[in-house]
Amino acid sequence: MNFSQSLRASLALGGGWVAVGLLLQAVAGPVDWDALAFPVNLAVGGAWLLLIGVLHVLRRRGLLPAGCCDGAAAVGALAWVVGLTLVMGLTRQVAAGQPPVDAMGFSQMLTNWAFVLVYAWTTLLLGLTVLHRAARFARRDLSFLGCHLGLFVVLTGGALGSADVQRLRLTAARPPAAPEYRAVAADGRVQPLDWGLRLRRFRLETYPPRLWVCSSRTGQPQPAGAPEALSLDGAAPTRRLTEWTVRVVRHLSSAAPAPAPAAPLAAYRSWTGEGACAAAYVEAERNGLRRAGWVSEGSFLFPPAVLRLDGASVLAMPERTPRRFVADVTVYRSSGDSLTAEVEVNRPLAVGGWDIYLTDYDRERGAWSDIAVFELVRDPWLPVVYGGIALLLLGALGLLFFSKPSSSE
Amino acid sequence: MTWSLFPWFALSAVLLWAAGSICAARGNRFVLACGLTVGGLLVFLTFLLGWWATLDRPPLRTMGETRLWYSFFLPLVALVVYARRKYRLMPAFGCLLSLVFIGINLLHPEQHDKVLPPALQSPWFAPHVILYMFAYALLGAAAVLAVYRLLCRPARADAAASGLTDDLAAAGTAFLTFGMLTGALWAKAAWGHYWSWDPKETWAALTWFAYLLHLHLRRSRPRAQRAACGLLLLGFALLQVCWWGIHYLPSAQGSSLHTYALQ
Repeated sequence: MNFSQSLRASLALGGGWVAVGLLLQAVAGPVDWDALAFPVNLAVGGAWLLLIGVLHVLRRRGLLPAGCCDGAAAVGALAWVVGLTLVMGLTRQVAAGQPPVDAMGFSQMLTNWAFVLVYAWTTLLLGLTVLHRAARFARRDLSFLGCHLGLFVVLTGGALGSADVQRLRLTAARPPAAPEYRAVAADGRVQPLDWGLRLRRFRLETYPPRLWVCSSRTGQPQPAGAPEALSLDGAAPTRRLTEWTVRVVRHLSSAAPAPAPAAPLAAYRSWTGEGACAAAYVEAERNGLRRAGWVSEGSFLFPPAVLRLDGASVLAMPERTPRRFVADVTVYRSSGDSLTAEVEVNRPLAVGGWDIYLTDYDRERGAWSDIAVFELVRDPWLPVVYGGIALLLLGALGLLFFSKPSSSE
Repeated sequence: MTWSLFPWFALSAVLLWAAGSICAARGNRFVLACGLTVGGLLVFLTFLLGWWATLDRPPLRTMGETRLWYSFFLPLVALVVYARRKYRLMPAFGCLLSLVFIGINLLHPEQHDKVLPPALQSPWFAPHVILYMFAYALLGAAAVLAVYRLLCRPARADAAASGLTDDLAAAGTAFLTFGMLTGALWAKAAWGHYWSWDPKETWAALTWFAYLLHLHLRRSRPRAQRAACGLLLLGFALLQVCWWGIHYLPSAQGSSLHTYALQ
């Protein structure tokens, strides 16, 4: 079978998978990945590898249709993968766990039978390619095998392990609250843990406060789309914002409104208690028109303060941009020992097979949040997927550095 | 280093690249061509590194900042191709494409500040984005060659151009792989899962599969030159959507984890 014939057959086969998939979608509904929960995924994985092994043997004996697993077959399969992934990219996807909102099921593509069958077929071809090339192994094939085996492992491990991924939510509070031993699943089910977590302190580090001119009609910072800001980082107390020249006369990084100020400049005073906010006394000038007053970001205790410049604009201080969220926690294990650690974005804590991620806090109270919300993730198939990723990386490196240039002048 | 200096650095770099391109196209000034292009790269790199120091963070957060790296990598890729394969028009291609993205940065300057969201404060941030921008530069060069071969020269006849295009596409796909996988490892540390199929990841996978399709077509059917060139252009279009187009896609509005633009 020549390339064109093989490609046509492959494209037709892919079309067949899509047709079968759409039929299944209509008759049986979306794919239920939860059905692959342990130990079913192990059995399915074993059957999958056995199937590939059997097909490989049949292929070696010439009992499979010619061209069904060759380069043209790969081209056909990848063409369908690109096509269906393009549909996924162009269709708004509903949240995970939600049913699709369209009849064809494209709005929840990961549970669409056509998508799953085409990807499964492509993974099957990967497996057969690996066995075929490994059967007549040569050192020059290492990169090739790394890429194909790596992707096979990632796709197979990711699919089979998807139902075993657990994601729970745990809300921990500062003392005097007791350590929290319960986590909640997405469906509201409470799951007790064999370890507990207490929040010792929540820290919110921010960038310096800034001032900007906002439209008093829309509240949007100006100029629209590319707002200009004066950062209260001590670098430059004066800056031109839109048409106004703004000068910072006094800046308090931690302040509270004074109860009975004797003068405008005394309307805010230094204060470091819970709920303190940044405030700045500023002067603004435009074409001889002058304005002066306090501007503050406010907090959960105090309202924000703006300076009205004219009928169309105000000078405001938005909430400070977070630089770092950190939860200082203590984990109490069932063995009796405890662990003190920090949890922050990009630095999860690993405890008892769970990865603990800091995801939220009391945004109303900000830096004085009494609680922190954590997401607990457990993925027993992660080492398998990581193994596949490592193979894929090594294979790509090999192809980059050890493959010969195609031709030269 | 301030943004107001960027036009001067960019102009100096582009003039050097243009001079290098002219020397390369003439065919008899190899060392001068390379020297001028390297000079332009050093000028541009000086701005990039100075900007990095001023911002006190990697200049990789906003679209405009990633365009800066793209503008730097394009002439670099073109220079390597010219130096190794003596393809005389590559410096010109690199300079022209770089000029497009420099122009966009000049016409649409952004607000630059030192703010880096907590989600981007990771040792994966710079490698992930830089690997992707380098991949985009390689694939951009491959796309330019594909257009050139489709429009100016018979796609079948030029073995050298064909081989060069394949090598650029293969190297670009390798770097796409590195970028994608570093992103997956980072996603696990940041979001709890290595792949969530959010719009950016979906389009990244789509772009990657499109280039894998090109790779497999070239291996299986070397004679299908025009189809291969077409696939390179398709891949490049998908790449652009993945890079910045998803911000305008209705299907991706408000649903991507990869949103770091700040006011």
